[in-house]
Amino acid sequence: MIEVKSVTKTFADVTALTEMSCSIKKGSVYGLVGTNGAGKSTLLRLLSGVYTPDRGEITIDGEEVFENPSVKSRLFFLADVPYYIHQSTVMEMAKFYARFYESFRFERLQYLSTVFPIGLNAKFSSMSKGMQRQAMLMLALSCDPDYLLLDEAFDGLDPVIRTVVKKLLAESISEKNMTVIIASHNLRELEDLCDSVGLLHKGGILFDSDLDTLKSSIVKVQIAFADQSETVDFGGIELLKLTKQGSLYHLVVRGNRDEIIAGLQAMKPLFLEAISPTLEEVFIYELEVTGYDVEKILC
Amino acid sequence: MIALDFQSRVPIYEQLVNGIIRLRILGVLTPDEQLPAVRSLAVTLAINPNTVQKAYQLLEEQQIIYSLPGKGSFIKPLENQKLLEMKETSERLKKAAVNAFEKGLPLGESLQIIHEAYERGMKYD
Amino acid sequence: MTSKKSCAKGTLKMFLWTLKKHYPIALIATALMAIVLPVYFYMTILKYDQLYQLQFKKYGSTVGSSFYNSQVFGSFIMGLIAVCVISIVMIVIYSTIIYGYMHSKKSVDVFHSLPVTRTQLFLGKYFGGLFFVLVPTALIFAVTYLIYRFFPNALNYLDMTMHRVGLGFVFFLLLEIAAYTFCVFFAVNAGTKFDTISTMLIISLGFPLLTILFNNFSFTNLFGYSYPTHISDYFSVSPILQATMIMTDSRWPMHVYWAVFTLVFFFLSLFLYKKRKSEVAGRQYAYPYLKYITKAILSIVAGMILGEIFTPVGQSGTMDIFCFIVGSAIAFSIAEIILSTGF
Repeated sequence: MIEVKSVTKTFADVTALTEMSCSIKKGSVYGLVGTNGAGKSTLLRLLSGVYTPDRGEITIDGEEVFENPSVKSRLFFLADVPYYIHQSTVMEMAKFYARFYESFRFERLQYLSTVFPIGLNAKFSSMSKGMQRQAMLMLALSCDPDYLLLDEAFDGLDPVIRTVVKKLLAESISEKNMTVIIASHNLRELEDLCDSVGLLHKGGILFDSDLDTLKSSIVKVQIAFADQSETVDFGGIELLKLTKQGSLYHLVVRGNRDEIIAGLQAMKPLFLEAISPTLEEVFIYELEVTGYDVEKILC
Repeated sequence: MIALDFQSRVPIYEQLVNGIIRLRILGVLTPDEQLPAVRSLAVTLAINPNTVQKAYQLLEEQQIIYSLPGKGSFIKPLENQKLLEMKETSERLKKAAVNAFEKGLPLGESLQIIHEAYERGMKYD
Repeated sequence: MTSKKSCAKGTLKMFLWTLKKHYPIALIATALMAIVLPVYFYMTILKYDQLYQLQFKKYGSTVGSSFYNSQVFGSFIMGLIAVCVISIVMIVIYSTIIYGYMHSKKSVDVFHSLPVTRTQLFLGKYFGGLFFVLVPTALIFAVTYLIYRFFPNALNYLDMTMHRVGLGFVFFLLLEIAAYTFCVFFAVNAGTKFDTISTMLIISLGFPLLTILFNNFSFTNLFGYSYPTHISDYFSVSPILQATMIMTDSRWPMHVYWAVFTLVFFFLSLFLYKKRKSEVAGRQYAYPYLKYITKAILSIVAGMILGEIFTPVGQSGTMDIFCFIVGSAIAFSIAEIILSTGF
């Protein structure tokens, strides 16, 4: 269980995180979303003990992370641009990690080299960025961490490899309750994999919840009535958005889906259609409600 | 075993639940048959094990499956409410189809109505 | 709380890895110093021996002939200086590359997320570098001793005893440790590799220059102040320079001085290292105070040099002061430009 309590982190001229709090359950796949500079990478580095918070505290299973080798030996941080020692091969980097991570297993690396199209004697400098990411993922998984922190590590992977990685993660999550935290811009990608998400904006968490709960808390409705002259009063439901195209009303409603549909059907509409929003749509609606200019937030 | 549509608006866990229920009704999954372990299903489908766990929990709540600690999850042999409802609905649809035929509604029209209802309904799901 | 045992284990892991990673360059340097140079010495002395025998045959005596005023002495001294210079260059190189990971964000991400404490990281790397620094010196002494066994006359020519040579090497070792620790201190303070080396050189060369110039500067005569002239005092902030003067001053108080110097900078480095934040990687100067000291020294030295150049001999102090101010201003601006772009 990861707990972030009221964490503030400032760099020379910029405040990356302001009194940010969240908690991440063990065994979950947590998606961290936000724009560039929203504080995602900063949070990941705080969680892996690279940075230390100016205020507040970060604990994993009750222990602080910073300068705590016993906790850090159970986590692996994979940055967006992977670092490799000059002129090293995959095997050499593996030996580097093996020295410091007691849980590193070479058998696991051998197995992974059959699954990924990367040779163990390949040099990092001769690989494309996508292949370097794959190689680092191989090393990360060989360390068998309890907590895997990925900073946009999925971006740049081809669809075949993505499926392979999802399967490998599924194995580790179900076998040893590994917790995965993925920071990404790509909501579409996260939607398939995550069970919880948190949106970071301007150094704070806008919302943070279970993915299914989030998606089922909002309904998109298209509704039309026989009598088109009257303006319809949709009072009684929490409207996030209301637009009209011709005789068709487009509603975005927050609340329990079944209750909302039942309530709308009671108004005897000519046409009624309700669909669940995608993750991206949920964020857009919530952000519009809170008054943020969405164009600036989501890329 | 179950084909998932990642593009669909229906949540994955719901697709799993519905899929297993359909297979049960069709008789592909038989009483007391063991379901795949959470782990192997998650790996096969390349999805989050928590999603599979959620689906299995819902199925257990709906009395479709039961689980034995240390052994796994199994299809419940007893008939249950939902299955009965589905059988009943099936009968009613048959009657409505006969009625439509007797009243002279063209086949194409009937199929169109069913199509629309399903499309709307699936989005409802 | 980490137990002492696990602290040592982590340090050991880092130490062994440092050795493994950097041994190629260390091997080359060691080969150069420990094999090539003693061989060079041997050839020089052999040559002198030839000359000596020749003189004896020719004139019947060797009175008036001394190694120190023979033609080979020059080459011998060159060799000695070469040893010192290579040693110092290697010290600068080791401290920069071993602690170089701190100067890039990507490598800091990896090293600071490893399950080792900052102390273990520092110590493991420190001892790794120290190993590379001291082993060649020890080897040189071993090879020199072997040469002495085979060619006992060598030391007689040099008017030396093995004992004194031994003491000289011990002092040189001490200076190497001091110089290495001093360089590590700069590496910890700097944000990039360029900063490390530039601050190291500016302070090491600048401070002695400062004291020499200050002594010669007519400015001092205005107030009747005279500066102590013992040459080693000029280098007492720079073990780097002192190490190149190995034969000049090995009084025991200097031993104590350098030992204390080493300890002070060791603990200062450790403290600053632990306090240093990961986010300063790649930025210029982890701790800005050094930037100000460096610029100050650079400006003052340059100012003094320009003051000396532009003042005609025998002129009074006012012109000197003016040139000093102008020179310093120019130097300060240039320093500002160079140090901030950091080519």
